Amino acid sequence: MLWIYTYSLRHIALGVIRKFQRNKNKKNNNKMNITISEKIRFYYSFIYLWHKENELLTVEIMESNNMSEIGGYSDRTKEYLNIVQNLPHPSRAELEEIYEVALLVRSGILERNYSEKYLIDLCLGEVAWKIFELKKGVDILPKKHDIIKVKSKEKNIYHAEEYWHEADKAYQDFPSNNERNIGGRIALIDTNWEFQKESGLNERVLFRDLEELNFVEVTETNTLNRLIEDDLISIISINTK
Amino acid sequence: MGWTTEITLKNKTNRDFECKIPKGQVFENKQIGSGKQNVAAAREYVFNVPANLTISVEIEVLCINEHLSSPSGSYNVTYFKVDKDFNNQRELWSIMKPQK
Repeated sequence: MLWIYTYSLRHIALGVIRKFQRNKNKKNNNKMNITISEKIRFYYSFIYLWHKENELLTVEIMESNNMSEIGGYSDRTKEYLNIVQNLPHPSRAELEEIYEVALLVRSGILERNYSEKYLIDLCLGEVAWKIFELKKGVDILPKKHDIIKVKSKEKNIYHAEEYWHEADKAYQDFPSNNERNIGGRIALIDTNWEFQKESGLNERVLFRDLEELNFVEVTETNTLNRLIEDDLISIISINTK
Repeated sequence: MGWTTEITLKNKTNRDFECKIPKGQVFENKQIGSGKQNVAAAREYVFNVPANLTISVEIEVLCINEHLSSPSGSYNVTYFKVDKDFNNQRELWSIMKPQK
């Protein structure tokens, strides 16, 4: 039964890696960016898979030095088993959980396997370091006061295709963080596009501010955006159907 | 045509609190140039978020971009809402036009 369980975990976790690689190819073709959280999950998969596959071997090595206890694992081994058996699956793990595991790889109970490699030419310690590097990008949470930076401006645009490129630049200062599921730039860009079509597509395009697009800042307390800003909640996902 | 947005969120604290989604709260699709509609909450929602728990809520939304395709996929919450009241999809689309 154990090998079936291990095989299933491996199969599913490898799915995360393959999905990442498929998305990477697809997004390269479409010139889109892979999200930081996708990259973090991709790297975490290697730590997860290595420990799931080598758990028993690691325990055996740890216990080979356990001379003091008879008939039971040492506290250190029990701690290791507890951590590995409760590792969150890459497809469901929250980013905070992944960082905690990466910390254990760099300087905790999982450090003993720091130099091991799995499928890629990076050891687990280097994989953990990659995760920390990527985390820096996630931690940049935009502040609401930045919202005032959106100012209407005009730009000469000669082709409709140019609009998306110029709009991206025009609204670049608007706070946005896809990893935290908070933003507004794309809603502004899309809505401004519709306004532009209503008032006629000519060479001179106006990039409108919030008020001109019939939006108003959410200022009430305990709203989703305020709770995210105050770090009281994290958004796992928002899906529309 | 009705649309729903499912929000899964985690309370990172040791206390319960209330969370409010104001009517007209805008949610944006995550990809520039995707051509998918952005959406706004059809009414106000208030719900309890228990300490340390992850919950999912499903809310009714209306589309804000009349000429874009149907909403689907992954969205962000935004810092803003529609600045006028509305009662149905037609009224919302009417609001989301340049003021003459």
